[in-house]
Amino acid sequence: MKNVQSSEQSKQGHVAEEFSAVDLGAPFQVILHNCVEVQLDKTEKIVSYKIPDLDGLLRTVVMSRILHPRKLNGPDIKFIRKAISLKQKDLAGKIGISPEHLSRCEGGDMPLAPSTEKLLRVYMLKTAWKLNKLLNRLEDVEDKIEGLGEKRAELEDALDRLFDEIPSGALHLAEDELAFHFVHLPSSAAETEGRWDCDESKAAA
Amino acid sequence: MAAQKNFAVETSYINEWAGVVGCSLSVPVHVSEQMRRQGFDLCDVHHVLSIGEVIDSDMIDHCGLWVVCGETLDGDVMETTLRVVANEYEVELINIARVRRR
Repeated sequence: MKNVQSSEQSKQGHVAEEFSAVDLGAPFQVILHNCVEVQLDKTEKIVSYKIPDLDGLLRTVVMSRILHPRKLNGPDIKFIRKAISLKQKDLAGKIGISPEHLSRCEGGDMPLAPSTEKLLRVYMLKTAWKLNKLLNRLEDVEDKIEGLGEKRAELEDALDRLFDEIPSGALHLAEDELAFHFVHLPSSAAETEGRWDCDESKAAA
Repeated sequence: MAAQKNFAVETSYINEWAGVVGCSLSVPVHVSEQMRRQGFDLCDVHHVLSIGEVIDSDMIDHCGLWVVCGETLDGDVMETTLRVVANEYEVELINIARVRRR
């Protein structure tokens, strides 16, 4: 809740121009732009804040970190696992390591091997996008629709290759703190609700 | 022995609320500080709301005043009190307590 600058005034409070969402518990900065409503007291101190679409925000933050090339360190792994509600033993099973091994990686005692990290990124991405459920449903009905099985396999293959280009270990030693900036886009005619988007322009700045 | 109250409707509502796009969460500063003191974060809160159970329900200012209890992914048991504006999908955290440490 640091770095709050109030700007636009609304009926219920002020919409913060920039809000650092430290309560998410992310080991990197998560900065929300023009979407968090804050209530201030007479001395301009924050009394409360309101985040729109917490579930969507957590999934978007996870996807942004997963797609970032920097090697995932222990706190990163723990945060993204918790943000998408996965138990340590469940994630460990999905990426073929023991819960004890994953626990050591999350604690920073040992790095995740590059091949395991790739598996983890793919699995986390599918989970954050809720693609696992979709792919399972497609598998259930692919006998009934011609060509669906091939399309599903193509999609799975593309997802598996998504992280082939990430240079393993190349960004190991980067020490600057990562910062991700997000905006909450208002609903359009095609959508009933708004959605989160990572603001690359602010990240670059 | 008094019959245990069943808050199945409230439990379904809050579990689904946690996974629905567009639902907003209000966090007073004192709850934010409570969270940090107890080693919780909003990921823990989100998880407990999505799998927890409503164990008490009352009214406050024409809104629901619910207590949700559930286990975090780290194995702690969290009890959180909420003010719920059901028809607007708004939830405000009123209090957070750790009732059992892993």
